[in-house]
Amino acid sequence: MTLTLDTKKLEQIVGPENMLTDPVDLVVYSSDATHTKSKPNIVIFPTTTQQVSDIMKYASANRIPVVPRGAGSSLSGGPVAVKGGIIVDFTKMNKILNVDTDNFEVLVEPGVVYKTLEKKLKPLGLFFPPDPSSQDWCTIGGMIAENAGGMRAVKYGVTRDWVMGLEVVLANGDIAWFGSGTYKFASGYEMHRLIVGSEGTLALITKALLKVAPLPEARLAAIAYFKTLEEAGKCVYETIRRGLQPSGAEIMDRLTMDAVSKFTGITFPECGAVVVNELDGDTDSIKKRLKILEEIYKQHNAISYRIAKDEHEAEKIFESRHAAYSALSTYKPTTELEDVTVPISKVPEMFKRIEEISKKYGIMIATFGHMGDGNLHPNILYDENIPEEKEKAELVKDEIFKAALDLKGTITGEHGVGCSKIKFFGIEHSPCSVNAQKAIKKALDPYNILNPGKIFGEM
Amino acid sequence: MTVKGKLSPKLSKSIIEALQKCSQCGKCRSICPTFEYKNIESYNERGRLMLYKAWNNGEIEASPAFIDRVYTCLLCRVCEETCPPKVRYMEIAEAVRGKLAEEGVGPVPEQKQAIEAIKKTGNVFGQESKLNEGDLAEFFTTAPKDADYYFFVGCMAGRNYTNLAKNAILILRKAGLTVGLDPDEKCCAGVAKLQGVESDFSKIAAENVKHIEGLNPKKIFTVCPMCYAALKKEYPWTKHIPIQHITEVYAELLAKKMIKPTRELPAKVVFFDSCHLGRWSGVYDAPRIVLNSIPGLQIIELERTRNLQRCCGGPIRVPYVDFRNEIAGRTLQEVEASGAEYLVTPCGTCLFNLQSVASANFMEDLKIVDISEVLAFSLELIDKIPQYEFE
Ligand SMILES: Cc1cc2nc3c(=O)[nH]c(=O)nc-3n(C[C@H](O)[C@H](O)[C@H](O)COP(=O)(O)OP(=O)(O)OC[C@H]3O[C@@H](n4cnc5c(N)ncnc54)[C@H](O)[C@@H]3O)c2cc1C
Ligand code: SF4
Ligand code: SF4
Repeated sequence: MTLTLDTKKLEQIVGPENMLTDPVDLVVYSSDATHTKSKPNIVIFPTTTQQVSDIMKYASANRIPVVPRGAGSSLSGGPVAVKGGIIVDFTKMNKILNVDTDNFEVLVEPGVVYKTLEKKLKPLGLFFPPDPSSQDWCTIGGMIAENAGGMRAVKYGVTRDWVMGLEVVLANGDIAWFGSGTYKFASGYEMHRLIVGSEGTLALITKALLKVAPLPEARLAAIAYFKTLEEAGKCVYETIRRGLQPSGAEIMDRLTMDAVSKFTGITFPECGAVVVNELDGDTDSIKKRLKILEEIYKQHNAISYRIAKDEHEAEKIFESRHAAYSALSTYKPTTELEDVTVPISKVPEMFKRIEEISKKYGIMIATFGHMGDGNLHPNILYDENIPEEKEKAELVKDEIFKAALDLKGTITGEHGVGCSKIKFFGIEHSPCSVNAQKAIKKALDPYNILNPGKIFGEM
Repeated sequence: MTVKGKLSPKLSKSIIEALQKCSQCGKCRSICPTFEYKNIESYNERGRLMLYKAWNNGEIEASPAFIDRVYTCLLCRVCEETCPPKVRYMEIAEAVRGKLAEEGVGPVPEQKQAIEAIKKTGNVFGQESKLNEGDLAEFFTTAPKDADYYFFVGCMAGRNYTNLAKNAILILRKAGLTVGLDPDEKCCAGVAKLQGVESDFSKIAAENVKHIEGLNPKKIFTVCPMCYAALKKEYPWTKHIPIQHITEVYAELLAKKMIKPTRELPAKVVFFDSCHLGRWSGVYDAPRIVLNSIPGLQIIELERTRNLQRCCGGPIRVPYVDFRNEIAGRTLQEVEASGAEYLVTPCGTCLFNLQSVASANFMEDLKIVDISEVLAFSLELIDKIPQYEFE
């Protein structure tokens, strides 16, 4: 496909210092944290909403694909220009515009990095709860577009729950504001919530009004070891049923533990599953809930458990979970991280199915994840250079998705469909549902220039 | 997308495997100093690794832009500290530079010149004089074999910032130790190693080993962290000679109570962990022990400290001075904002680069000093710091 692009025109909009056309840069901007690869024709870095609007006017008049990008940490090929075109990198729109401590709201540009926002809020006793593991480098724009979640989602929800309003540039270059600065909002469609998770396919986000929360007085971490994943699963379920409101309920299987041990030197006792919990809130309430938590651990035959005495120990406890993804890369040349999500009562069953799939194909699957909200990360471990393994891994992926859907779950809880799960999107959603979603896409982006080739594949 | 016909890969199998360890997660965006400055992905570890791969596959050529991305890398290794799958970046970068040197397209002319100077004169500045013909002449009192320590002075302290060497000798003498120098000392050639010119490096390293072993020293110390890393980690020694950085020597002397700092320095101080002392050699505590021994002195640890310290930018100063200015400038701003009065370095190169940028930015209130200077001051061996002030 040949695209003709008037770089002079784009240069007039953003200035020569804000665009890249050298093949060396185009190679680097051809990928994200997956191995999807496709070169854009140009990368530009707008610095104002007006520039974004002018870019879209130009792109829409000339039917040129536009792919927004934050830190490029997506795990689904989201910011990859699969149809070529313009990558609009938002990282120079990175100002925190306003912190409204009276109303617990912040107004930010999309290129603000999560960690930068966190640093700004902490001294004010505030925090932005969605906490993806990529928080040191991912942008708020990327988080919104992917509806990112994190370990604390079990208590605080995902990005969508904290977005109050968005300034966006539409495909035709119009600048629109969606949502409101109020906690309640019944005036028309909640368009801002639709834009959240739309993976850059409906509009470009240029400002975000976010809700923030007061930092809890204290946080406490605990780690418990179980003989089986099933027991661990039941234990986590019980903590939620009994209203402990954990702000973290993570799980790792044995394969993951072994990898973490090898990678970091952290040791685990003989067990089949480990659960990492966090409780936050005021000190009295934590004490009360901790007692119940210990009771639940015992009732569910925890082999042993440990409560962190201080922040440092808490960090140590979470360190093992944080290391999981990288540690797993030590097993095999290829690690494919999925993020299927099932209703929480179905977590133990999902684990069982994953184990069966692994056995059936003789392919290693290591699983860790956000157990408290049913969001699991099965990692398919194989060698993509061996055709037979590659083929099997594809089948394994198929079956994992099907198992999740069979348990009334979803193919992705937080990473998005991007271009890596298109095939399964049509399986998860009925033709009528897909058509309705496509109708929205067509209404907002009639020429299919906003991140084409994502979610639906061909329109 | 045109992919050039399948060329045979330029890099070895083990380097290609090391390259494949990168999961492209992007975390190095949050730490790489050249990316902090440029905000362009091809200027961080992830981007550079993608470029090395593409070049290795014949997908891109060694174009001027490619050369720029390769050689603007500071080789500071801070990205290795936070990389989740622990990609061995340094090894890869050196191999790429090695191949580029072999193909005659690297290093950049300015770096080539430095290596040529070392080969020709035995020092990086290309000076024809011997070490005992300059500022340090009076310190050539003991032969290395007779001294408690042989002091491998290095180009910077031997020829430019001679106070760095003088202070170290004065302090050791105060502890009752003798220090031997060698008029024929030659550059450690660490620069050649960094630029991937392995043949030059190994030749000089072998010559130096032979020469130094012939001096029969009991122990060796250096003040320059790069010399230290080269001698300690890279040299093919045939005899066992203990090698220490001067800060490790000081820490030992303090522990044995052979020196006792008494003069107060009531000031807030930031210690600057040099790349070669910290990340390359793992020496973080010794300089802090030294500073903590000084009455009145208070160390402030900034967010990027120890293994996360941002490089001074010095390694690419000559070819890419804008990078150096921006990168050092960022650190200086952070130090200034912390309210510290002194920035203490363990490295002549860091000292020079930080001072140059501070003076260009009129940061007159911040005193940038060498660690030996601070200790010598507290031991009442010198009366004024900083010894090097900038106009
Ligand atoms: C090691 C690692 C850990 C991770 N952990 C988590 C986790 O715990 N939870 C989780 O949810 N995700 C996680 N992710 C996935 C990813 O980091 C998140 O989705 C993140 O929010 C993406 O942000 P980004 O700035 O990198 O966006 P990018 O990857 O650049 O882009 C993501 C998507 O957003 C779109 N986009 C970006 N900016 C805009 C904008 N201004 N307007 C419109 N669309 C835009 C892009 O087109 C793309 O579709 C992880 C990834 C890695 C590599
Ligand atoms: S942090 Fe390491 S693994 Fe992640 S992108 Fe950078 S080099 Fe690759
Ligand atoms: S070595 Fe330093 S400059 Fe080079 S990529 Fe790593 S962090 Fe960046």
